[in-house]
Amino acid sequence: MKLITHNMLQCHAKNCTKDNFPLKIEASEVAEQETEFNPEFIRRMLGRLEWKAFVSAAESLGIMGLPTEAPAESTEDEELLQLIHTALLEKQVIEGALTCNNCGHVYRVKKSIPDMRLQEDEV
Amino acid sequence: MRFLCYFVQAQPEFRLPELDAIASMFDIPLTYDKSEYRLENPFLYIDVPSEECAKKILSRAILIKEIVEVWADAPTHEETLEILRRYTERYKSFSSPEISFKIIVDFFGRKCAVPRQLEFINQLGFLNLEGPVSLKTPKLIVTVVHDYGGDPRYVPELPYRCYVGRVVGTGQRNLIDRYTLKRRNYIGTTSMSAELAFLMANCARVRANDIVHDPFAGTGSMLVAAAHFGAYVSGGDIDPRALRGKVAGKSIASTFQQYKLSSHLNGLLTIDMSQPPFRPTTLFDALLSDPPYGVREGARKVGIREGKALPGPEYPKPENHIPMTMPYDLPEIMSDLLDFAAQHLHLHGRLAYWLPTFRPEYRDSDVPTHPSLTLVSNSEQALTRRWARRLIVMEKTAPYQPRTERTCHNVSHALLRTKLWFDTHGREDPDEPTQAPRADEVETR
Repeated sequence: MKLITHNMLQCHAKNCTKDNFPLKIEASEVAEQETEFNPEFIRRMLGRLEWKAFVSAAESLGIMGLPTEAPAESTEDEELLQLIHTALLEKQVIEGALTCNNCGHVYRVKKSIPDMRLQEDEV
Repeated sequence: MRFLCYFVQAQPEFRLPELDAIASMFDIPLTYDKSEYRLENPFLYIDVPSEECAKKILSRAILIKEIVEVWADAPTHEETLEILRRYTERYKSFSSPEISFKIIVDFFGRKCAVPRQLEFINQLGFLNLEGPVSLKTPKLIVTVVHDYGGDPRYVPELPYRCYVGRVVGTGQRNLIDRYTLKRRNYIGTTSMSAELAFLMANCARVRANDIVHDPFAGTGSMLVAAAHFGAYVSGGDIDPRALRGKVAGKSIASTFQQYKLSSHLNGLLTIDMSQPPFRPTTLFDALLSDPPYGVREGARKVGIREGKALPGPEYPKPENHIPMTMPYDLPEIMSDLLDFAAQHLHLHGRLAYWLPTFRPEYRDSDVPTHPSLTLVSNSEQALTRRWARRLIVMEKTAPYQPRTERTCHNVSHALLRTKLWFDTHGREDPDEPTQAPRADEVETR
């Protein structure tokens, strides 16, 4: 699971409606896979990400140095865009869990695929 | 500028929706006379501002064979030659020692033997093209097109229409071979053909750097097409085995590796579409989907099946517990899909999906609606005399408002699984105890 995906997910257990985003990452296996750097795409994502959630998720995977506020989409800072690229599209949770801060619901990540299903008695 | 759009004679219902979608994707003002267009005939004059616009359309079109700048158009070949003799200014500028060329003869609806082709080519000597002949990399391709109509049962002695002109460019038919399922690393029983997957990506106006999602990804066919056009894609499925692949080295990820598109695969998720786990905001530029419906791949959602006991009260469940699933009724799937699109698409983002239909009962009013979505196109692909699927394209035209009614069951695709089973087996499905009426008893409104 890449952080671009993590940034879209929230807990959807029944009656869990506040503080259900972002899900806390507890990774037991993390990998970094090189992907093609596309500054235009990264710029486009700047306004679309929940920035604070992205920064804290990146930090939980050991990527430090992201600014506290999202840079402007016009930014020319190639080095910063490269860092965001690495955090957003290269770092991956292979095995681990996503936990809801509010209700404590645990979603497992297996072979880099998060299992976002609820249990049959929760729907 | 006026051009002749020469479509392929395949998927005719989808040709105009694709053309319109591509033009609107590039903001190209496009006009044509729809009354001139016939499904059995692949020729249509289109007006676009420039040749560059025609080339942009060609850069995406999967159902256009080529676009031609017509120099002569007449009911007979002799008349086209006469027109060419009279209006030399139409092609004079292409007569230069620097412009290599070739002439091709292209009969639609009939074969043309090689000696006769040569005869036609030699007849055009009076064009006085000065450049060298190049069969492999010509700068100019002159085409002689004769239209014998698309009816194989009746091929007329003489063509209906003859055209001579310059080929502006060809469409993207080569992608069909490049991405063919025959050589794809990972496919399943319901994998979408490359042709239709690219068609869907075009109809949904998938562009480079878009975020595209398929909530019923299966083996990921539509995601491959979207990624080829430069989008970043993700896919969900309720069955993690489909996403991961059951055999080592055969998975959606391996397919993306095969086509060198791995950088564009954002991720895969095990998702129950009746309970989507996305934060409630706009996230996607386009959604492509072929929701499951068949006898073989019946849809499931998490839930407790009728007649089954509730699982034990212990919570949390053991880590490896797989939730029980129950049938996921088609009208409900469609309703969930539309609401998902209405909520998570960016404004003017598009949803393209297949709606299976029972042809004897289908009405246009069966197509599900949503207050935030506007229908763009609805084209049928017949599967059998009784069964079809329709490619439904919708655009988000208003901010999200939750759906007013949950599902509508009074439609021909309701109880589709039961009807399909009845069609193939001549009796009701013994494993699926249901109150469903038989196909011929289903209420036709």
